[in-house]
Amino acid sequence: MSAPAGIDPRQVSLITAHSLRHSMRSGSGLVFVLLALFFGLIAAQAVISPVEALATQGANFGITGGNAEVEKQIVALARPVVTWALSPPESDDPDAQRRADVRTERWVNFVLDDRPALLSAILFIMVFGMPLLLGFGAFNQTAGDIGSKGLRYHLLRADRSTIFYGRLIATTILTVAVQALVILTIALYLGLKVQIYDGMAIATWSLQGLVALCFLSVPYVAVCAWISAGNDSPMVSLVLCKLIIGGVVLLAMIGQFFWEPLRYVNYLLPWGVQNYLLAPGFTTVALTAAACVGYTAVFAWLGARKFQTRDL
Amino acid sequence: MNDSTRPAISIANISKTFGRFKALENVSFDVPQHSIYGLLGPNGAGKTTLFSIAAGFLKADSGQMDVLGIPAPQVSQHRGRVSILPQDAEFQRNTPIMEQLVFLRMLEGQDRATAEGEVEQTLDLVGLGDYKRRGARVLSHGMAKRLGIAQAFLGSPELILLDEPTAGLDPANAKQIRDLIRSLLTRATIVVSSHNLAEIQDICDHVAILDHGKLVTAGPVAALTSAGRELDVRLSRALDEAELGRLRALPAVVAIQAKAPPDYVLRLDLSGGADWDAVVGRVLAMLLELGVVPRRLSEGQSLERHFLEVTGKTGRA
Repeated sequence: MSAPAGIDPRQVSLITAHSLRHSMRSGSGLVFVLLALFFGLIAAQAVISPVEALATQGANFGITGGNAEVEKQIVALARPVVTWALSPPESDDPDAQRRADVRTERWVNFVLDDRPALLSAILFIMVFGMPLLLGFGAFNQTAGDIGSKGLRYHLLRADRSTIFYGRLIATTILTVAVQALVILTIALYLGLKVQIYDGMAIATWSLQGLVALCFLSVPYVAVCAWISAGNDSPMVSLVLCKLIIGGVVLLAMIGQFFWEPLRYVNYLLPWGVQNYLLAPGFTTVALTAAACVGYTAVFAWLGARKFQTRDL
Repeated sequence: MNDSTRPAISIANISKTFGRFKALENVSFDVPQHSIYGLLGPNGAGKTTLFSIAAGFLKADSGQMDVLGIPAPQVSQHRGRVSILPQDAEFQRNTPIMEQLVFLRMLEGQDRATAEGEVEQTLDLVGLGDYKRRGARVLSHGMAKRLGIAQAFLGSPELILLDEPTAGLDPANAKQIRDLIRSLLTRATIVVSSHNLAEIQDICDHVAILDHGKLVTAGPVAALTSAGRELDVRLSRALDEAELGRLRALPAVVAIQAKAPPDYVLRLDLSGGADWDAVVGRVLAMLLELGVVPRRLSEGQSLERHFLEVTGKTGRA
């Protein structure tokens, strides 16, 4: 497959590698790495610690079964909450509502019974939380260098699209690498320390979770690239990234109580579909991943267009 | 028009506004190949805007600018044939400067080993060899300018744009930069913007003067200043009126200004085709005939006079 006109693959790879190194040296990438690790491990601790604590207390009182028994009880307690969280909005059509309930029950059984439930909980927390964190790693793809005019040293040597996509790819690689590190740490802890689930089950569900997080992350990174391309100030870019990504989900969550159609605001970003990346059935997951690719294509195109046409 | 006769930069009716501010208004002129072209004008005249359009940083509202034969917005296609020292552009603070310059050369298509060799050589040339492993944050303003110049002269660019290369530098550093530019001169076309008239006259063979976004005049420095070239002289003693009269009677000498005798400025008119060296020779011969020994003799800032005439300004540009 050949690259689009104006984009030089060799230059893209050079810019990607240079941007990756620069983001770590400049500190913004490092801050994102630390925040993402902190968030992932806190999420894991919030889910795993109660199981370990209850298992320890149970053992003190002569209750056997250990972590596995406690996990079963916690899963049973959490089932109604998970069902509520994964349910679509209620429908006025009884048949449609019945079908939706069946689908939801299948999904709940899939994540709580067919897959390691604790890992499912951690993955859902990450799917919700990661988009809110991604802005910290992706806000400064171009804004800082536009403001400092440092980009001017590159503009006579590479096409603007090449620079834009090179930096977008660098940010995506950083995001994926950080998430892989978080998932790997959690998977190892669950497998080696908690010892409730089969190692293969943890490995495959971790891998699927990581792939889901990757597909989920790219559209948000592309949104940030678009915002960054339109601003000269990294601080303004960061604030806009946070406001837009967080604002969309907040407006949909709260606004729908005042005016029901506002829940569709979620679909401006992948918020409305992203949970389906952890759904049962290949078709659902594949369609959701395709939707994420579609969001990415639109945001990246808008960002590249902005970067192409603006004064730098 | 073939490659050898085509201007390095062709500017036709370029206009650019920022909000309500007209930065450039229908500016047209050509920069001949292999010239050292000065872009003069007071602050806010539009020099940096013109540079930025030539380098593809800004888009013109109207008009056409071709750089080495292709439209300015696509100038990045030249990859290494055009370079620029942008005004106030910063290098990355924490990335070693060697790595940054090697990266820029590799973007131009150079392999890493060759790029590293070139960069080391250039950094040594501009006196930054000892800083190659350091980030730009440790560099002083003058050193950062030298680094900017080093990146502009990397490789063998055919066209080099230097935007205010000595702005903000103390006189010693400014001289160092001018000497550096002279030492790095190749067969490239060089365009230098400045509001320092002496600097432009010192370095350039062609000049364009901008004022309030409009082109006031453009052409070879010699042609622009031929009607008002100046000769600064310091003599062994002051001249009396009769001696001044004999000097004034020489062909091409139109006026003599006594700055602080024995320092004088002779204004010469070479527009009739008189030769500069011949006129200076006649002046010297007359002084010796009068028994006066010239202690110092230099070409005066005739470009400054021309600049003041065409812009109507009264002080420094």
